[in-house]
Amino acid sequence: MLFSYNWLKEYLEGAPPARELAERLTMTGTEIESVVETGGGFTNVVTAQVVECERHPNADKLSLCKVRTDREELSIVCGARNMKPGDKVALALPGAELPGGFKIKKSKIRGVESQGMMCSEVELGLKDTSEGIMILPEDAPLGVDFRTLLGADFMMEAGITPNRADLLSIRGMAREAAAVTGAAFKDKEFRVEEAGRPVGECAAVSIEKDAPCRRYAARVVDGVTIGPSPDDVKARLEAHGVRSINNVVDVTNLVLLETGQPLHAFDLDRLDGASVNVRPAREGETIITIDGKERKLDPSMLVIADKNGPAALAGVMGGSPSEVTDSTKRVLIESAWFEPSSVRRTSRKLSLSTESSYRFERGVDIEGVAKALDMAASLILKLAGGKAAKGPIDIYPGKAAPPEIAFSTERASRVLGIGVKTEQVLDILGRLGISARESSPGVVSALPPTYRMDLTTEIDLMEEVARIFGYNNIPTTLPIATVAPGETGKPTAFKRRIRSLLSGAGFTEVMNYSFVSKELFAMAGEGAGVELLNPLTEEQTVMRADLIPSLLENMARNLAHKREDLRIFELAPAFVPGEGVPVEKWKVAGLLYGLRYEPGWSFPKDAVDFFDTKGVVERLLEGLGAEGARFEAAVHPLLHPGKTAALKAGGKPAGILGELHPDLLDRYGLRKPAYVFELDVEPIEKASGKGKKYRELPRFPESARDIAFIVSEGVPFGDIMEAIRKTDLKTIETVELFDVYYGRNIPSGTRSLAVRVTYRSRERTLTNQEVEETHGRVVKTLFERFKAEVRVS
Amino acid sequence: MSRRVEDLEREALQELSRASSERESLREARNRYLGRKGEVAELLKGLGSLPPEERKKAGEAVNNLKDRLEEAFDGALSAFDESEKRERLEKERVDITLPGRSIRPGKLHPVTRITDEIEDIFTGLGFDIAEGPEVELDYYNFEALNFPKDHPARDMQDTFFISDEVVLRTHTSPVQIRVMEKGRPPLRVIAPGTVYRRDSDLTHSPMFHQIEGFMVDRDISFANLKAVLTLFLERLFGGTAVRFRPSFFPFVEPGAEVDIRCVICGGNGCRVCKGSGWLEILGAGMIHPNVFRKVGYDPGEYSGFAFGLGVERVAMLKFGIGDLRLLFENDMRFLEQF
Repeated sequence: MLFSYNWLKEYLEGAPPARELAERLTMTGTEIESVVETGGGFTNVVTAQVVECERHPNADKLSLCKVRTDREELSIVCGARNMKPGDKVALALPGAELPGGFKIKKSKIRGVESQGMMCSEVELGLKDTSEGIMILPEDAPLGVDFRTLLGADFMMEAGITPNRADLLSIRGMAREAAAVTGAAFKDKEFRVEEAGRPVGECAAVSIEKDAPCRRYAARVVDGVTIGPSPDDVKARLEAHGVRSINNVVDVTNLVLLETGQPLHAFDLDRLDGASVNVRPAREGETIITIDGKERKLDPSMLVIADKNGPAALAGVMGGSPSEVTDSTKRVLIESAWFEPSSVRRTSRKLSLSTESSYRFERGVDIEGVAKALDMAASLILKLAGGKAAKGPIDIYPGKAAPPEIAFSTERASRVLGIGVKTEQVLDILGRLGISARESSPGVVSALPPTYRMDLTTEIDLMEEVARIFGYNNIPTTLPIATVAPGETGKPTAFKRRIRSLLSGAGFTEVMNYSFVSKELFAMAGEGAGVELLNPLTEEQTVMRADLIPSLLENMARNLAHKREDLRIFELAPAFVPGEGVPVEKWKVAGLLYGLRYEPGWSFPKDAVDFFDTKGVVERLLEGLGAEGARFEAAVHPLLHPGKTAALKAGGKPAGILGELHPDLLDRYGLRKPAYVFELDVEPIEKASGKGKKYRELPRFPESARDIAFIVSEGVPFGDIMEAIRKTDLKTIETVELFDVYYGRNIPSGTRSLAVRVTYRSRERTLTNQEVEETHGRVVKTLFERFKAEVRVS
Repeated sequence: MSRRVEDLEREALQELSRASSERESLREARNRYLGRKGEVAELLKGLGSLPPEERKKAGEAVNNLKDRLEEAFDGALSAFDESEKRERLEKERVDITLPGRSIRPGKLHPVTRITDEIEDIFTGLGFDIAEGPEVELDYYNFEALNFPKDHPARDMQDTFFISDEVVLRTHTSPVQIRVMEKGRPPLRVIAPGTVYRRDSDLTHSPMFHQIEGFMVDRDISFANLKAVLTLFLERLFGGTAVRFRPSFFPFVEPGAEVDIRCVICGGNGCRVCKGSGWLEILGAGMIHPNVFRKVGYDPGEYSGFAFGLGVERVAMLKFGIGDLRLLFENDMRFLEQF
C-alpha cells in the first residue's frame, strides 16, 4: 500500500522523521519497501528576499546581492540577472545539498565572499529548463524550509501482510505508527450538518435474512452539484494511484484511503423505489458494472438491489445505471460491512478485484462504518454542496461482543524464550489499543479492538508482545536436544550419488521446467498427461513424463551458439496421471553429442557413439551398486530402431538408451547423431539394495586362453558371452571381448570376435589338463550353439 | 715391489685419461688393470714369491693401489653414465606449458551445489533430510498449514492447479505436515525441493527451489529459532550480521522474516538490497498451534519452529548471479562456471 507521510502526520503528534518511521515500522512487522521523497530532493534551502543588487566589483557578468532571511542578511554572488530588490527567492544556505549531490558552501568568487546560492528551478530539480533564478510568489513567508512551501512529502510503499487489514488505511497506519514509535494518535472528528428532511422520507434500506451483511449504514445528501474536485484533493488521490472522477466519487475514494472503509455513492433518483435491499443475486440476474461490462450473477453473490434488480455488487463494484453522473442531484452514500468470504468468492468468480473488494476480503472494522459515513457526508457537503438528510440509516443486525483472550505470561515465556512480565504485557497491549488487565497472577485478560480482527487467540497476542518488545531484543539460545547425527534420507542420498557419478563421467547438470508444451510432451509418444488448469503460457501446459525432450531443447540452445560437444544430464521427477493425485517417478536422463573427448591438441577426434552411451550407463549402474542389470534390443519413438536398448534392473523395466532417431536430426539441425539415455531411479535403487561385501583375494594362479571365431552377425554377443560363462561357472572367472572385426577376409554377414577366457579355481591350482578340458568345451559350445568357426583357440 | 706399484699406477692413470672420451676403451683399460687376469691381479699373484716379511707390506700396497684404481675408473665410468643420462633426459624434455590432458568432470547445477551445502550444514546440526511430492493435495499445501479456503492469505502464493483439490506445491512446507503425521517429536528435519508459483518475470520463476526446515520438541522457543538460524546463516555466508523482523505466514506465529547484511555492498545500500543494506533471506516462525492440531499434536505439550528459504536467491547472492533466468536457460557457458 502506498501512503503519504504528510497525510499520516495529520493523525500523529510527535511523529519521527519519515525515514526513521519507515525503519521502525519495518522492524515491527510493517515492511516499508520504499520511501520516495517527492517535491524536494534538496536540503537546507529557505525562502529569502532580495534587499539590494549591485554589480560585482571584479566581474561584469556577476551581481553581488544582499539577501535576507527571517534572521540574517547574507551577501550572495549570483550569475543571473532576473531578480530585483523585493523579490522572494529560494536560497541555498551553506551546508545545503542540491539534487545530484551538489553541496553549497561559503566561497570567494572573484575576491568576494558568497554566503550561499539563489537557486533556479533546474538547480532544485523541479524543472528541466529554467531562465534565471526562481522568483517566488510575493506572499511567500521568509526563512521557511522551501520544501514545506513546495508541499514536499514522502511516499511510502508498505507491504501489508494479509492478517493486517487494519493497516490498509492512513488512519490505521497512523494508529500502528503511534503504537510502535510512542507518538500520540489523534483521531479526527466529523460532524454532519443535517439540514434536510428525515432520512426515512428519502430512502429505505433492508437486509434480507441471513444475507452475509452484518451492517449497512447510509446517508442521503440532496441537491449536490457534481463537478471536479479541488486541486489538493485531486493531487492527493493521484499520489495514491486513484484517478479523480468527480467531487462525490472522489470523496468516497478519499474516505476509503483514509479510513479503510469502502463506500459507494448511488444516484438516489436512479434507484427504483428509492430503496435498496441487500440480498443474494437471483439465478439468471445480470448487472452492468461501472466499468461497462455485463456480468452474469448467481445466488452465491451478494448484491445491493433496487426494485428493478441488482444495482451494485456488494463490496466489489457499483452498477452503471445508478452511478453518480454530472446530472446527479441526490446521492445515497453506502457504508457497510460484508462477510469477507462472500466478497472474496464474488470477486474471484467474476475475476474482478477492486480497492473495495481487497479491503472487504481482508476485513473492515465493523465499528468504523458509521464514522466513515459521517466523514464522507461532511466532505460531500463541503465539496458538492446540498443538504444532508436528518440522521443516518444504520442497520446493524450483526453486532457481537468479541471474546476476551486469556494470556499466560508463563506460556509466553516458554514460547518466546524470554522472561515475560505482567507489567510489560499490560504496557505493550495498552499501546496497541488492546484493553488488558491482570485477571489472576501471571494471567492477563485482553480484549482487542474491533479493527484487529487478526487477534483471536493467545498466540496472536504473544506475537504482538514479541514484535513490540523487538525480535532483535530476544536472545539467541541454542536448543537443548538429544544428540543424534542428522540422517540424509535414502532417496536423497541415492540421488546425490547419481549426480556425483554422472558429473564425474563428464556430464554437466541441467535444470528444466517440469511443465512443457503439448508438442514437446507428445514427442516421446506419451498419451494423456498431467495438465495444468491455469498454465501461464502454451510452453508450460503439461507436466512432463519424459526428460529427453527437454534435453534436446537444451542441446538446440547450446548448438545455436556453436557449442558442438555436449554431455548433459538431468535428475527430476516425471509425472504420470494417477488415481486422484498424479504419480511422480524420478528419472535421470543424459545426452551425448559431438566428440568423445574434449576437443584439444592431444585427443583423437572421434565422435561419440552408442557404446559410449551404454558405457556411461553401465558405469553408473556399477557405481550405484545395481545388480542384475540387463540390456535388451528395443524400440522407442525417439530412437533409432537399430540402436536402442532397454534396461532391466531386477527384472523390471528401468529405462532406455540409444541413438536419436534420424528423423529428429533435421529438426534439431544436427550434423552428427546424438545419443540419449533415460533411466528410472526407483527400480535401480531397488536393485542396489545390497551393500558392498569383500571377496577374498585369489590365492591360486589364473590361466588365460584366447579364442577368435567367426560367427553370424545376427548372433548377439551377450548370448555368446553368457554361454561361455555357463560352460563352467566354477572355473571361468572372466570373459573379455577384445576384438570385433567386420570386412575383408571374412564372409559377408559374419563378424570375427576375439575373447579372452580366464580360468581360475578358488580352491587349488588348475592343472593344464583341466584348463584345456574346459576350454575345449567352450570351443565346442561356440561351434554347436552359434555355428561359430573357431580360428584360434 | 713398491716401484712396480708406482709405475703401474702412473701407467694406468695415463691410460685412463687417454681413454676417458670413449666408454668402450675406458672399460677395456679398466679390464686390463683391474680384471680377473689384469695387471693388478698379476701383481697380487706375484706376492707369493716374495719373502714373508715383505709380503704383508707389499700386499697392503697392492690392495691400496687396487682401491685407488677402482675408484678412479669407476668414477670416470659413472661420470660417463651421468652425462649420457643427462643427454637422454634432455632429449625427453616436453613443453610443460601445453594444456594438461584429462577427462573433464561435468559440473553440478548451482542450485544443486547450494542445496548440498545447506543440507550439509543442517545434517551437521542433527537435522534429517526428508522429501515430499511436488504435486500436492490442497490439504497438505494449504488447509493443514492454516490457509483456510477462501482466505486472502492464499493470494500470497499464486497457485498452479491440476484440479480443484490438486495443486503444484507452492512451497516445501507440506513436507512438515507429512513428516509430522508419520513421526512423533522430537523432530529435526529439513526438506529441500522444487516448488511452483504462477508468476514469471525478471525476478520470479514459475519453478524454483526451497529448503524447508523445522524442529519440534518440548519447550522449543523463539530464542532457539533465532540461535539455529543465526548459526546457519553465519555458516552459509561466513559470519554475516543477521536481523529478525516480524512478518506473517499462516502456518507460523510469531512469524519472522530474516535478513542478512547485504553481501554485495556490505550494508551501505546498493541496487541489490534496494538501498536498505539488508537482504531478505529466510521466512520463519513458531509453528502455529492450528498446524499442530491438524497433525494430532497437543500444542500445550509441544512447540517448534519452522523456516524456509529460496535456493535460487542464495545461489544468486553467493555466486554473484544477476539474472534469475540464467539458472533455467541451461547455457553451458553459464553452467560450466560452477
